[in-house]
Amino acid sequence: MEHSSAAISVHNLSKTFNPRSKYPVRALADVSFDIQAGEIVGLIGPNGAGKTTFLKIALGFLAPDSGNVSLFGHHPESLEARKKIGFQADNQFTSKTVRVETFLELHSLLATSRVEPEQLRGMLDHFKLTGAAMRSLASMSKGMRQKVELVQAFIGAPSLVFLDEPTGALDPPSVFELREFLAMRKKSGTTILFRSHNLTEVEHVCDRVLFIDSGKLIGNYAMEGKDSGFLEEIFRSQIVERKAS
Amino acid sequence: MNPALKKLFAVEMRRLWTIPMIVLSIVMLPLGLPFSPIIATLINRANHGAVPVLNLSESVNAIFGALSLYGAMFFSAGIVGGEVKNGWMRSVLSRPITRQWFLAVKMAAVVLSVFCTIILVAIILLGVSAAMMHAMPAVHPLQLAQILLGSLGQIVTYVAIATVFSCFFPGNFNLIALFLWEILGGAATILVQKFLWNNKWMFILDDLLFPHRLTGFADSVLQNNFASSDLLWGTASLALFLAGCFWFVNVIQVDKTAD
Repeated sequence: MEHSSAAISVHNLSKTFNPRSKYPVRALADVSFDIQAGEIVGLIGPNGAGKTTFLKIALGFLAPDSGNVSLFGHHPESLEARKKIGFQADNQFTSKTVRVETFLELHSLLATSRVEPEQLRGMLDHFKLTGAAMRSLASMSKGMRQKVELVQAFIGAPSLVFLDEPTGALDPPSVFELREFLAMRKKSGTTILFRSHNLTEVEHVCDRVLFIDSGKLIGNYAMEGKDSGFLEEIFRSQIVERKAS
Repeated sequence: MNPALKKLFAVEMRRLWTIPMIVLSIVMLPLGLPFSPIIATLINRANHGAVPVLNLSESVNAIFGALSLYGAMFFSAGIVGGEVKNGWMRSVLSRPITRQWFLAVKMAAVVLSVFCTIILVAIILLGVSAAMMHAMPAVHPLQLAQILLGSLGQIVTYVAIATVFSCFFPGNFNLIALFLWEILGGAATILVQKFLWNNKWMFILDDLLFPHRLTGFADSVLQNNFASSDLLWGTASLALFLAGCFWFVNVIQVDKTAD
């Protein structure tokens, strides 16, 4: 595996589902980009564009047909890469028998081999979850469960965090808390890949945005100095182009 | 032991011991009843016959023989497929832990649960039997230890077979697959014995794919034999299925959420 200073390095990544069937689905086609350490990068695109497939490959859950992804120069499924990453899933695990505290302690032990109660308490406080620590995961609302998943993703101060629709179930105050939290993490040098359909939030949070459509990377935009509504315009122009073609 | 693995094991045990599992474990009690001396004692008493002797090794072997498959089926339902479906495997594997360690911890929790449940069932049934007979059972510690070892090996084998199925079948379907496999195994053994009795390769294949040799080993211990060939074949088969499940868990897709 090639060593690189980039947090995420993607080279000619391609993936097709059911390639021998009558209707193969091309999820990713020759996608290449780099994300530097310390950046917050948005990943946007219409439904079925290939964003989730990319996340699965980047997390080592799915093998690409060709090309490769490296995380700080390591293969995504290697333990070296896993030690440096956090992941907040969109479809979250729930259980009647696993309490929030147990879930977070387990992730802390898996990530760093130790539990840091102060760090955990601080993050639970930030997301107003302190009173929920003894509740089971299944007893929580979708929004609260999402906040637990966000806390989980940042346990052990990972260098790179994948956020999959982090604001999907959050109420506005929680979205503001998340923004503050991400700003703090950015200051400490954490790289964040922020996959979302919420364009306003992506504009607020991200330094750069990658636009994926039909498995191809069709846009890579620096967000500095861009007006509010820039991403919406991009989306609209893509729809017009699609209709024209 | 690594504290993370210890915690994962504790969480897996907690997740296994849910109310349905407690109910299913209680259901195993009447299933084990015919294999304890309770019924024989009651019948003999009604007929004014002699009360049978309580042989602990024999009864433990019979109870394990009757319940190991059911126990393994209950506890290993969805051991891999279910965890892929509910997102637990993806959540844990986003951390620095290999799939093999994750599976090893899960299987250890399942095997311990099955073994302890059957031990508990045996203690209850044999305790009742001893009370009815007003006699302490005859205990042969070495024989009992060998029987427990053989039975434990057979439970691990069943759990490993269920795990192999669970890598390919969604949710709890591995439970049915394991049951069908057992029926198929019984049929294959009869066919091999009836029609291919002099074909050693068919015997070898039958022993490896439908393993009962560890139960056979436990049975032989009761006859005061040490059937090393049963032990070796049973262990070989166990190793085959363990290798299978640790290989397959490495190649399956652990996140099946849609794009």
